[in-house]
Amino acid sequence: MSVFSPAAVIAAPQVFEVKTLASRAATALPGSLLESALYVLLAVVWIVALLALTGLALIYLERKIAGHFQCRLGPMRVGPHGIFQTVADTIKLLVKEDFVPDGADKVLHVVAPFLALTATILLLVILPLSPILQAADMNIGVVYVTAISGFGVMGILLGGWSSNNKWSMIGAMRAGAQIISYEISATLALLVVVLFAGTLRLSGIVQSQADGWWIWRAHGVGVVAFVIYVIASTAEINRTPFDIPEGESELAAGFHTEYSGIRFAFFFLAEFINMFLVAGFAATFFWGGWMPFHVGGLDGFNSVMDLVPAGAWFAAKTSALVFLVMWFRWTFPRLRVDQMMRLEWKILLPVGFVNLFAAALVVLYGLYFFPGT
Amino acid sequence: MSEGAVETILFYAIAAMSLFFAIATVTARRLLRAAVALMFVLVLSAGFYVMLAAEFLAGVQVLVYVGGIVVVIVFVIMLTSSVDLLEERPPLLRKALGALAAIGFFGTTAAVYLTTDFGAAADAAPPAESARAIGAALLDYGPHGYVVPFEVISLLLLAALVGGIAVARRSPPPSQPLTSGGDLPGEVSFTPPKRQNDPEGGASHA
Amino acid sequence: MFDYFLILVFTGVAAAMVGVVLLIARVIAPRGWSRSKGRPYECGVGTIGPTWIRFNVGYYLFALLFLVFDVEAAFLYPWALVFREVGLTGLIEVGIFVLVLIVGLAYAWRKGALEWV
Repeated sequence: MSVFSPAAVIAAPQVFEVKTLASRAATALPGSLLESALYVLLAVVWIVALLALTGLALIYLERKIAGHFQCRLGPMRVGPHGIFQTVADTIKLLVKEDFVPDGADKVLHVVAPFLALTATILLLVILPLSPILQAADMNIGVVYVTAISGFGVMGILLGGWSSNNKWSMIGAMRAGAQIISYEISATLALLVVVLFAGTLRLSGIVQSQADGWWIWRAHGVGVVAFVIYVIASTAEINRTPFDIPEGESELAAGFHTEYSGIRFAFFFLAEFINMFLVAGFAATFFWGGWMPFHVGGLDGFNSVMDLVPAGAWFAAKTSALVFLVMWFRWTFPRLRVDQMMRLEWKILLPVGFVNLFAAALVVLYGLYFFPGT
Repeated sequence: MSEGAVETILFYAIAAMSLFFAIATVTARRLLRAAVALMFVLVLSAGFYVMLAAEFLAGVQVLVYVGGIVVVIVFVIMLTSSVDLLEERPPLLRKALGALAAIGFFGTTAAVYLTTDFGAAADAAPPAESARAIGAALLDYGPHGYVVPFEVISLLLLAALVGGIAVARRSPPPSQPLTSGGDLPGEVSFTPPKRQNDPEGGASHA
Repeated sequence: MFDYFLILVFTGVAAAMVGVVLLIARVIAPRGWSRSKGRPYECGVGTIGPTWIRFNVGYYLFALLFLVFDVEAAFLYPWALVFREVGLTGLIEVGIFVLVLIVGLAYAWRKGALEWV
């Protein structure tokens, strides 16, 4: 008996069984409360670790990539190639004074970063990193993602409002208007995916791409929806070229001008994790998430692709998209408020509607690849 | 502990929190705090929908009410009450009338709850995926479908849109200060003073 | 159902995280107050006028437009979900629904509500 038999591998294409931590906890519940609680604890530890590690890594990467784009080295002093720079920064922020300006609404000033961070954590909970690394898998997945991102606006609005500072105020108002405007385009792009996948569940959407990722299986409409989604969600997380709410040259630091110390760090962390989330969701909806690169019918090819673990596929796709979003920052200049609004309401929204109808026709007449499955 | 007991505890916990925030909504003197408390009330009622196995409705509740209506309320607060952030304490008469209306409403609701038989609805099994059931019912043009209300909703939304634009477009006179150049506050429309000894009106470089 | 219970758990986790970190910061971070430090920031000079001034009506208009399209999206989700079952009739029904709203968008466009002042 040989240890490795190619025939056996090729004969059986892998079937992915999704087991979220929540479903494990629910299955264990009738028998053992302790086991169920342990799974919940595991989910908590996992999400907190993910939050902390991704935050540390992304902030370091952003600075390194920014440096190399500008022919600098970026952070080099703290640890080899400056890898402990973010740790040092975190400690610095922790020992800085936590400051509330005169005349500010003290309660809301503290509640605002909490709301922003809560929205971020609640989105991390549903992100499918692999068939087993997903904390929860709501049956309204896509609606959940849109709803919670909308909830995040309130953190920014309250932070700006409560600061008793005009820069904060203007930044918050701009952020509010921008985020809600672009949310519609993001929703229209996601509706295209729901049309093709026929489910709102995130794991179901990933599973529906077993014959090919929607970006190419849904050819034209998939690409347009992906581009709309990336533009709209870049705007939703206030990244350049849509960083009008915190445009340094006009608004100091926008809605978090009056935040210092550790509560500034909360906003900052939420912002970076949101970038990771946007990349992760774009990968999930359009690039197959943890699904390996499959072509329907080519079982041999597919099983070779399955040799790379699902989590690695997700990591690779998400890293590529994170790099893309960071690249935007050094390529596109910041838009003006009126240009940004025009882009959304006069270009992206009509294109999104037309694309949605085109997608409906494509689904109706089975004009995409492998419609039988 | 049975599942029913956990559900009961959760229900009362959510109900107590909703009541707390609802009271905060009506008693807060700062308008924005009232809006934030209202947001929590709306989120918590989404919790009730989840407990009733209407997850899609819960999602839409957060999507539309928290992400939409509360944001509109915040923008409206910015638009109307400018400097005067604190609400006045209402006079006694208004308080009394308000209490009367509240008691009347409570009485009516209680009467409806006590006299209605909810047995049939409570025994019916909820659909496995509520969003799918809603979609099928909305687009069904048969006798039990809701396609006409569905289309009427779009007309309602259109009316709201047109009405909102008509009302809002009329309100700001073009000469109103503090709104020049988009959103810069405190920047009154400013024309640089003309130089006195310059008949051409332009800058003259010697 | 259990998935939704986790929302509650993680809201608690977020609150605990923020609380613990704020507590640590309170212990180790310096605190002090002085008259000039508390003053709001405005280009190195004292602020002119109140912060909470009346804002541009444009924000309200865009929020209103958003609300209309948000509600519309809420109705499109169930349609997209059952689209394979309802087929062409469903597409026509939703087409009418969306077309009415696109008329609204066109009206807003004509009236200049989509211009940023």
